[in-house]
Amino acid sequence: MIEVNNVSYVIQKKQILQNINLTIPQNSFAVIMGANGAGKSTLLQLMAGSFAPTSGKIMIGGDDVAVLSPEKLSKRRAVLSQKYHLPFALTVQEVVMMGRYPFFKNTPGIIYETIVTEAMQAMDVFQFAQTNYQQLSGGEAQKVQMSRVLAQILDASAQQKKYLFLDEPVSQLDIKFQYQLMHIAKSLTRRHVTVLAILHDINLALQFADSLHFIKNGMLYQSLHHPAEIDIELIHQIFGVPAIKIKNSETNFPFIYFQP
Amino acid sequence: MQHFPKLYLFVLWVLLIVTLIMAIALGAVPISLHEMYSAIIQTFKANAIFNMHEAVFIDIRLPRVLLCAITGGILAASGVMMQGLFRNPIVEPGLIGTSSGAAFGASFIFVLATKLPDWLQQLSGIFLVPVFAFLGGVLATVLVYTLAKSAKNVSVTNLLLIGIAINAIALSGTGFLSFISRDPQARSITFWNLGSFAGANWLQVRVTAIVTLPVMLLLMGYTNQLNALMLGDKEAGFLGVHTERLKWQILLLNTAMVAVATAFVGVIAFVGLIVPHIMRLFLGGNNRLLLPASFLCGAILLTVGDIAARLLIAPGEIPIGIITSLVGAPVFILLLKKTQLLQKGGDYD
Repeated sequence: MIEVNNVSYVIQKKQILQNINLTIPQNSFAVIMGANGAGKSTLLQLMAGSFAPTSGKIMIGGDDVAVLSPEKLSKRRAVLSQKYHLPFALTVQEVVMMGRYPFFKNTPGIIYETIVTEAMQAMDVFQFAQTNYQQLSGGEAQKVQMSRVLAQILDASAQQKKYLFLDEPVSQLDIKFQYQLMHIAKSLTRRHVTVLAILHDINLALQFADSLHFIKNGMLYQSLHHPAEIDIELIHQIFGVPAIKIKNSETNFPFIYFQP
Repeated sequence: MQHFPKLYLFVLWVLLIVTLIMAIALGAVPISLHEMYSAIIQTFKANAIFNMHEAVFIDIRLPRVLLCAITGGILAASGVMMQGLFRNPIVEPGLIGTSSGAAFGASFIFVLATKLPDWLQQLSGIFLVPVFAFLGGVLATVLVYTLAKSAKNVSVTNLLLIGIAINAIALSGTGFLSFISRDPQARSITFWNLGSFAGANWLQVRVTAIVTLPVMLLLMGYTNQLNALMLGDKEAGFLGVHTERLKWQILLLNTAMVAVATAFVGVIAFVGLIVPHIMRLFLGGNNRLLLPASFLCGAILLTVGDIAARLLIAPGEIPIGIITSLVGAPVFILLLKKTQLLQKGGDYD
């Protein structure tokens, strides 16, 4: 479970987040949405523990994120950032193996090699295992980075629950892999992983999310624990674009059609 | 990229040993394999008697070649660590102030040692020079690093520009010291600013080796974290790396090693730049392999450079720093050209 209690964040006298309260149930898939600059990434970074909130508290699996050391956090959660640039040549396998770095000192054991292979296969990048990461296309690189964070959390168990934070994970992926990634993320929730993602595609979110959280101007505008009940007025408020909601009898989620 | 990392290291070891033997054999007094062998046997006897060739081998050639090899290794390994730390392939100890700072610290002792109390002077030759070189090196490196660091990142442009400024300050400090010094001291500063192994002795070899071995072992323990740092500071943090702590630890260990080498042999530029670059072309960027491989390659290349320094204008000798700069500067320019293209694609943060 992730609990955000009254969290505010101020940097250089600018209020980025204000009094955020939200709860993400254990083993669920939560999606954060909002316009550019709303504070989504900052909220994700705070939950992941890369810096501390100005006020308020964030609990992850019952522990205060601010108190956990980087080592302990790294064994508990993985984070996919938006952009990566590697200054030196590494093979895809070497990059994915970094996901296991929190768990070994010098050389990885056989089990870790297996996890890394599994992570690469999940994102269909196993054929690139010995390719130089720097030569990959943007989409391929994003898949490799996803494999890396998967490798970090794939061994989650009932005793060791894990958390996955994804910051716009599908921004560079083609349709097929957008769905593949979402399916993987969703399936992880059945393997003791709690997933939180920032997405821009409302329909992708409606299809997969267990809960939807809308951020506007640094504040939590609304949390939906039954995303299918979304109403178009909310969408208009958040994205500033009129929309219509189309219910489909064949699926249990609605379709949002934007009409700017 | 590399399927047989151990094979690469083995090949480098073999090359290093061959180079060392060649470096010992060649010189004003040629030394045969047989003489090397008999001299080594002799040293284990209680009252060893050497003939002239054997004495040259034991007292002059061997310490020189060893000091040269270790120094080459240090500079190359330091290049790998610095480049990893700054996430950029164009950083080396000579460019970010470490070497010139160490040079200033050492010249300080050269010139002012006579003003120090007697008991300190006793230590000055072998201990004070490295210690002051270390202090100077750390001071300059930390200055460059903190000044180049803006709100959240270290831009390479800043780093190089501030490196130039700090280098200039350290160089003018060294220049001033040589100006106020008496003639023999000044000569030793000048000669030493160009780098030379001419004065190598066993004590220097021992001190350098004693510092280098533990530092290298410690640095090997940081290689995975240094790999993680390639993803970015924050991202390395997500993998459990204390990034700020790691940076300081590496910076200090690294400077200790470079300062000791610099204190004894002077400023030798560009080894730390070229060697990691060559090794990356062969082995890829994984620091676990790159660090030991670069150490060995640096040892080989600087030993070859020293052979050239001794033989090109024999019986005279060219300061080795001149040779490394002559070869290294063009490589540096090439690298700059290449990374500018690279930088347009992505930003270093």
